[in-house]
Amino acid sequence: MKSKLSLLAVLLLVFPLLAGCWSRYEIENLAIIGGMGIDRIQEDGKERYLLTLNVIRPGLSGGGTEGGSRGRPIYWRITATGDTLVDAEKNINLRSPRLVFYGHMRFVVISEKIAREKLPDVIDYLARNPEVRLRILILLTKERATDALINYSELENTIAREITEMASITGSIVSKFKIWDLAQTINQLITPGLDPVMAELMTPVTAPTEPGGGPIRILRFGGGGVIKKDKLVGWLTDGETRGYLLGTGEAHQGALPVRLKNQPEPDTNINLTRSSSKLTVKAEGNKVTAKIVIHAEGDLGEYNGKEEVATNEGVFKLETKFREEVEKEVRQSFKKAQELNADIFGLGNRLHERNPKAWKKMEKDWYKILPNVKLEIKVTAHIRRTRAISEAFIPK
Amino acid sequence: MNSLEKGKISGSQFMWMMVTTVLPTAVLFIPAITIKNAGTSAWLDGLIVSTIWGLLVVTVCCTLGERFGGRSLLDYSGEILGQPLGKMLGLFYIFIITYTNAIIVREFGEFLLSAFMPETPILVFNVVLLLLAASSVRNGIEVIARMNQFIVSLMFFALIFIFCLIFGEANFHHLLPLFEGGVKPIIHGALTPMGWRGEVFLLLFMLPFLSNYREARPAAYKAVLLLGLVLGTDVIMVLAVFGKEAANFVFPVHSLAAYISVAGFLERVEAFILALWVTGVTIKVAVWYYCATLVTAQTFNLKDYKPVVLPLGIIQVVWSITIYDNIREMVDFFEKPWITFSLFFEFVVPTTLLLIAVIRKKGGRGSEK
Repeated sequence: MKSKLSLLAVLLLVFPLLAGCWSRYEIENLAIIGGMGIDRIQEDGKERYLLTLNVIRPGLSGGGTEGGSRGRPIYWRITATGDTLVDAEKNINLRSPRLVFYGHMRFVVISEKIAREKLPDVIDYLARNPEVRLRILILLTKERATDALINYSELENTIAREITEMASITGSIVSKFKIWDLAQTINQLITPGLDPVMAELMTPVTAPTEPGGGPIRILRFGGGGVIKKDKLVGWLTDGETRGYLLGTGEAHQGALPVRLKNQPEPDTNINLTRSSSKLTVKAEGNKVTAKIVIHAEGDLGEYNGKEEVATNEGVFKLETKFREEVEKEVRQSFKKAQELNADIFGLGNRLHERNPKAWKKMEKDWYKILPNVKLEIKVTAHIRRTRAISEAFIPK
Repeated sequence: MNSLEKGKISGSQFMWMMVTTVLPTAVLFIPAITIKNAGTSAWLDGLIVSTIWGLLVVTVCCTLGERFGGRSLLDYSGEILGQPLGKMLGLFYIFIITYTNAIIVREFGEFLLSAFMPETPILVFNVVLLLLAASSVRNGIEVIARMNQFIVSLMFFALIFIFCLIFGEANFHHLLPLFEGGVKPIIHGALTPMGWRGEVFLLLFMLPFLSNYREARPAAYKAVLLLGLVLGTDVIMVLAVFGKEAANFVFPVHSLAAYISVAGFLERVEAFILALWVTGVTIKVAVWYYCATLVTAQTFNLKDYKPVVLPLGIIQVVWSITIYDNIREMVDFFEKPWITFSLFFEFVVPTTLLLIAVIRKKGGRGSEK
């Protein structure tokens, strides 16, 4: 009898566990966020955060057709303001019937004003939230971040997917932008002697792309914003960003238009197929010299001259141009970095790694030393192939 | 002693038990603390400095135990210090082990709350964990040792899985510069992991359960070396992936697992950390809990240790809740008081006992029959 009673007691104790987890959220109560935009705006006479979220509309994201099956956009774009970012995040719930869930968020767009004034706050807010992944991509925009969160996508099902694919696949094909994720951004922000270049997202409005459609806003990457210490100090163009990527060994593929003949327009294109770089920094007294050794390989991508090019001499000539072009690009962006007085190539960090004693002496005055750093560039460039044809076809 | 526990374990079971006594919590808490204090040299602490310390603790404790024929500390503490002081030492170790176990239980709850289930009351996790541990303690050392053999393989699988998958993200430049700032930060960073590694001092109470107590020394050395390898790799991987930013993470290894992304589809594998954590900490708590009950039973000359399991469990639950107000207080404790606290009961007390035993010519060949 007693044992039966105790068995019953045990069974009764088990029942509450069968109801499931303690702090559970059902998926139909979650608003799954694809991306986030953070702006700073004037409201009621004071500066406040404007948080924009792209909520993936349930039931539509699988459809894949633009606009969704019921003619509604695939995203629900929702904004809220707040004195702090968490305040703004909670204020989303003034409108949203579902709980905001960041576990699937892929990117965060930060406006220029935020990047100039409030970058550490934003980084802290993102990193502190355990739902937010360290893999989320951090993007800058010169325009309002809220405009970047368009509620349709052009090729993939969601913009979040478009942006992550660009970061992981197509970004390295063009090498004109580099998107860092949250962990990498934080790492570069806290490393002394290294200033990050964060990818810039542009949001131009284009002419109608479809018959009968209006002009639409599209997303495009290019260039990057230079963050010095904790502030945005300037922007790099596409070309300068590629110089930076070549110099830091982050460039993979790309097109290098060069001039073989003496004329203003480029007539030949060299396809960069791989590149790597090695940076060494030497300090003697207060004089610092940096040496970047770049190894680049490429193919002949386009050629419209009449002279023979698919010969030993031709290839040699191409390689010379290739070398000059790579060096030129790196020098340009190095010059730009010195103008902005930001250490985007991580010279200080390299000095710190290899020669901590010298770095310790220079750390305080690093930004006074940086503009006078002499740069040596050594490029070894190889043209390996001419792709599918050898010489250009010459029409009679 | 033998009236309290009939079970016997083998040398290898003992070794794996020593590993589990340290590993599960250390793997989670150590990297952030050492990286904060030692910077880029942190990996040296996990790999070398605290391993040397662990070997030292094992040497002292094994020498002491072997001198008295592989008996438990409480069996011979009276012989060394005299009965009253010997019993006082028993009370001291009841306090120490129960207190430390309460801390371990709290760590368990804190991690689950911070990383996975922020809305569940911490009491739920702590009570469930201690109930499970109490059940294993009542079943005796053999049950714990066998369960551990299975769970150790789970833990190692989880860790190796995580380290392999994250290897592609590792940037070993983050380990440079080497030895920045000299020896001082290295020692500073090593203090907390030293205390952690010294937890193998529990072997003082476990020697009698080995079928041959002479197997304890090599097994414990192996356990400490293995721990050095695992915890060293742990710190190296965390540093290589995150660099110094890892110092600001509360649970860097959890972040490491969360950061894994293989080909865009193998993601969110931090549940592996949960497997390591829940199973491993259960055993860890069971071992400490078991030692606490045994010491209690021995100090008060009880015939059976089972009656003290429940009261000690209740004490530990309450203690684990009230011990800290917040998680930062806990981590702060590990960085400061824990160091002296743990070095004292792990090293200073056994060493003193050994010295007194040698001076008073207790134990040794004379008493071994």
